[in-house]
Amino acid sequence: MEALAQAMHALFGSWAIPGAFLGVLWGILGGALPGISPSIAMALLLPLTYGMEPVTALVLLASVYVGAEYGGSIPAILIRTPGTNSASATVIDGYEMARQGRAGEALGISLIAGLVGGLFGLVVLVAATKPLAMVALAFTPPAYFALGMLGISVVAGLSGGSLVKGFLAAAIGLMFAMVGSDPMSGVPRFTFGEPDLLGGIKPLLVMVGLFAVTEMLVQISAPPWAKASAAEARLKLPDWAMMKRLWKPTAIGSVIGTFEGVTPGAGGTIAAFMAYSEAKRWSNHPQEFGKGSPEGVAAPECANNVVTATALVPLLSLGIPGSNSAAILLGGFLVHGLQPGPMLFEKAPEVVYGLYGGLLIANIAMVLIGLVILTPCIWLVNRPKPWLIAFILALVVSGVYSVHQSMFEVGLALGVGVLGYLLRYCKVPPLPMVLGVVLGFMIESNYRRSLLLTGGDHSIFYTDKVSLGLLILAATLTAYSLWREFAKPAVSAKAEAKTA
Amino acid sequence: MRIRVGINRPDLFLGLVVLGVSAGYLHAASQIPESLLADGVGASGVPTALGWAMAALGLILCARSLLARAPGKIAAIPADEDKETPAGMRPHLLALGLLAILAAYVVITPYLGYVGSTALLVGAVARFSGAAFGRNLLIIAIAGALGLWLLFDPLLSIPLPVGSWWGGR
Repeated sequence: MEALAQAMHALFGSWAIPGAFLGVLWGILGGALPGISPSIAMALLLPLTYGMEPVTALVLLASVYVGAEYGGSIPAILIRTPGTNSASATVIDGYEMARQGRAGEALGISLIAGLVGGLFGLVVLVAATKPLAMVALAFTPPAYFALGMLGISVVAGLSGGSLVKGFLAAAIGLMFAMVGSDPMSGVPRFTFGEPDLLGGIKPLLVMVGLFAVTEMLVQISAPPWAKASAAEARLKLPDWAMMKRLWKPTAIGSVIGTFEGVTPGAGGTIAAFMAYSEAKRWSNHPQEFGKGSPEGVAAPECANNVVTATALVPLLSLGIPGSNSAAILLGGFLVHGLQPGPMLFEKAPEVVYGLYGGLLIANIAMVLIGLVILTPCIWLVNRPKPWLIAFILALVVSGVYSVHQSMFEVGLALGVGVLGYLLRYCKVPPLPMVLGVVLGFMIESNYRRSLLLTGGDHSIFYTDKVSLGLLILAATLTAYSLWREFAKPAVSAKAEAKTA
Repeated sequence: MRIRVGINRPDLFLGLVVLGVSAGYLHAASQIPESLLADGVGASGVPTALGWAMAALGLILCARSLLARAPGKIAAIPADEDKETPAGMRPHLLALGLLAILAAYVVITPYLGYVGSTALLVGAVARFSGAAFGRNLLIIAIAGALGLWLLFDPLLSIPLPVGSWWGGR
């Protein structure tokens, strides 16, 4: 009850509700643009949140994530081009429905399945986060160090196939985190005499550079997007008979989205494809999948919207971002001097409950805005790509400048963007680098604090039971990933050689 | 599916670059001064460990790319990778051109101010990305820059650079 009162006060005592509507609107428009992922749409707004109240800023960012998941399905259905990665599975049946003149019906199913998924995910988020955070309240410096190491071991799941490259990206991120004054003695490190670097490299700059600038450097040579036709799209919400047919794929999407959301590194794309596959397996009409099945739209759209909430469970309870979008939201917390994790419920409960309330508003806003946004979305998707690139970059440089009124930081974000471009060329995943930047301080400062407590004795990391448990978990995750990378391909190669 | 026998050149190149960067990083870490307030680990302790970890990752990358050549260590190319890439240098040259425009923006903004340099940025990027040169380009670029200035300066109360050429700081 007290939590509800805090949520209400946080929401109504700030600009959080308009923020939720604006965030959803921005998210839908951003998600509808192929190449603009939810994390890029969030990163573009991140610098603007600097002067806002924490609740308003975080609700705004989280709402962008909610809106982008629906927005991504619009070009997926209309022009066979997913606006976001997690809308890729929606293309299969959504575009087939559009070809049959049922684009409006597919968009309506996407909207309602997204609402159900978003609300289900919110219930899981509220139920699971606080108990997990309460456990983490007993953490000591060694446990925090171990938690940071567990966060880094999550890299294994985020490495997109090469664990070595994942750890390389994490190491680069940790290098960024080492820049600035030493947390214990205040000695400047890697500042090369530049006073602007004394305060360190802010995660915000890394995120904007790595996601937004890199994407524009890639998009400049990518072919133009297909055009959408406004004439064929009039939103049609599912009727009762259709709702009865969709309950099963929606339930499947909800369960899969929950598991994939709380698993760092899995994310909405995997959830959407798994939900599609399972919905087909359990469907009474499996033969319709791939030929315009409404269930083939509902399952992935529900799953990727569940993830928008459940991906926040590890972030809010442990401070570990498990996806790009959760990492940007973490940037939003850091911008306001808040550290997500066990202490957040103690230090700023109104922010957490306000965020829960904001997510509820965002899901409702998604339906209300979704009913009227289609025409503007089609207009936006049809804008010439050169203008979109130009204005996105203008927004990026203006946003980064606005944080500290520093052109040096604009240059730094552009530099990170170039690094991101080179890393992408070398197939090095970007998210582990973000993890390294945000977890670097936590790992180093708690490692050194722990050793200060024991006079340099490392045994504290395994005599502290929580630390030992977390380190074992981190080692297990890493070992499993190593096995998956080295042993599994060998087994598959042998099997292929046999069949050849 | 094809079978590839040979060095993975991009990974070998990446591994060598990582080795070079880690050497530079270890050198920079060794230059970090020690403070009287230093703990047992010291300001350079974690960066040094990190530098060695980077070097190890670089070595692993090099070794993996070279070992792919050894007999019996053949790499099967998945079906979706089994096609010629149209790459060429064009995408990288375009990215480099875009970067040059952005770098010029960082340099000229303190002199020209926000509105002028942002209008130039929008116009230059749009033209460079393929928009036709003409009156529309100028109008949209200037209107866009003014719109962004309105959003940030009067609406969000974030002071933007006026430009030293116009008497600003």
